[in-house]
Amino acid sequence: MVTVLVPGALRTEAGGESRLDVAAGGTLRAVLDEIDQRWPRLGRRIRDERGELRRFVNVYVDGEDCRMLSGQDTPVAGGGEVQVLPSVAGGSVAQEVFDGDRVLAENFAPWVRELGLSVQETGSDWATLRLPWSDRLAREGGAMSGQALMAAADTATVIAVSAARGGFVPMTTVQLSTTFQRPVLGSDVLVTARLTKLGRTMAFADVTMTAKGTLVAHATTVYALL
Amino acid sequence: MTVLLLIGTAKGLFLARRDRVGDAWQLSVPQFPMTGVYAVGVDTRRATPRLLAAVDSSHFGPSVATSDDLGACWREPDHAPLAFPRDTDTALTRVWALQPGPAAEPDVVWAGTQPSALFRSTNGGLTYELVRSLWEHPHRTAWGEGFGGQAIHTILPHPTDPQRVLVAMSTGGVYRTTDGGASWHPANSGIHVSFLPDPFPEFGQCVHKVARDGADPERLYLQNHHGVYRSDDDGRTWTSIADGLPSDFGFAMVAHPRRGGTAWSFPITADALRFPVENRCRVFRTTDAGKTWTAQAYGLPTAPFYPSVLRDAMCADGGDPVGVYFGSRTGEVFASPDEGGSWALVAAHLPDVLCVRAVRL
Repeated sequence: MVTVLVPGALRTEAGGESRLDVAAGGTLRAVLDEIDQRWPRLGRRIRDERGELRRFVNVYVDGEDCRMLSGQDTPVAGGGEVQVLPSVAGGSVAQEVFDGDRVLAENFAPWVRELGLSVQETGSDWATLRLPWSDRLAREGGAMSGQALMAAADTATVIAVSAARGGFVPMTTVQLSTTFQRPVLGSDVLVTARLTKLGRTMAFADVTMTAKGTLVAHATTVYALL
Repeated sequence: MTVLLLIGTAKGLFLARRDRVGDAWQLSVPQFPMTGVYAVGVDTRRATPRLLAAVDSSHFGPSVATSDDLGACWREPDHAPLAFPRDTDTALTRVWALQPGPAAEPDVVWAGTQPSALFRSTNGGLTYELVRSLWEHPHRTAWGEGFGGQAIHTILPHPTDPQRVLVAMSTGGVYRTTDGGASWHPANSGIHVSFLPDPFPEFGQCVHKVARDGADPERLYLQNHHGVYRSDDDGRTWTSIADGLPSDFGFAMVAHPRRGGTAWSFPITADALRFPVENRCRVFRTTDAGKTWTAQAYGLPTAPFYPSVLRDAMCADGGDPVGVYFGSRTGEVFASPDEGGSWALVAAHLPDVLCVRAVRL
């Protein structure tokens, strides 16, 4: 058995897993072939259709860059560890360091987790969460209830502050002001919180909520950092 | 009437939407953030238009995603939607063009790629196969490479004759098929090149964009790497229509979707001076198939303007009057609700705009 460590940016292609157990061994190529078989969307982001490693993806076998060893012919022993990392040459690495879904899972009340929020993207001062449509969130008339949108805006701000600080920060909401501009009927809502100021003890954010690309609600939030 | 504008940028796809002229544009957050979106397409042959996006991660490679709910959710197949077959020993660099086929072939979508190749989908753009007849063309090894890379960037299916398709590449020029893709022939007669010893070669031109006339499908407008041309015989021969323009260099060329003789261009000073002519932000329109061109700049910035407009960063929608849209390499997007008569800003401070496409909902 070989363990494959998946970077944050590719976890959605591996069912959300950060570690995968792979039966194949022998060479790195055999390990990557099994990934192609079992997680093809992950596999094609690591290697192109010729089977070559993508230029800005680095693969480490037991901590050593495979390009410094024998490339895909590098031996991988049972119990070995293969780590996939995007190289610094490409884009932002913030999302590889910060795991927003873990912050969500570990720090919120059960009823908030039941909203089914997931972290889509985070940046140096922002976070986008998806609030999936559910009939349970609908109020009379069939539209998504404002309470659900406000909870999502609140949560998105916590994730944005945590992303900016590189990990979960305890905080308490001081103010949350929301305008509901259009009804949400049957579609997911993308909730993006952008920090307009992040101080030592206070954080301020602007939150947009969109469904099918259209603004449905807008909020401004203020937090005391504990 | 609602307009949905897809804005592909160097760092993701933005969707801008407004319900009526005069309303503010609502701009989405970036979708596929930190990926270059070099091509977008809108397939209006479906009840709900299908959106197509070519996304290119500098780390994790290229792919094609589709949305059937106007951009709320995107999907990608497990296996690569578009890849070179093993025997070609070639890897896809990126997709440069996504073009729905004619009405008679409702599930056909074409894709143009870097390196220069044509792909065809028969399931509405979800997955694609290499068009081997063009890949195996004896000229292929002689096709060159422009500054942006070697790619097929323009695909023009004939609207009523599925046997006819025209493609353009940088560099290589225009090729066309009249037998449903069984054979391909260069179609560059009359197009000048400045960078080869023979000024009128059979192929090898650096064509930047071709647009098909909205009323006469035999008529085409072409922006070359220096040179603006028209063809009245589906690409067999070309004649210059550059005299009425302030420069014969540029990248974009957009035809009116219905009215014959009408097209828009965004002239750039020269190959070696890639600023708008006189550093002024101006679109030029012809309504007489290129005999004369008129500047359209009402509402556009009046201060010196330096960014260029890339080959796919200008488009028209299907409205009446037609809306025209363009984006700049400095992340500004402008819209005209009245065929270029007046312009207003849709969005600013975006990443470099690589492509725009608009649809009326």
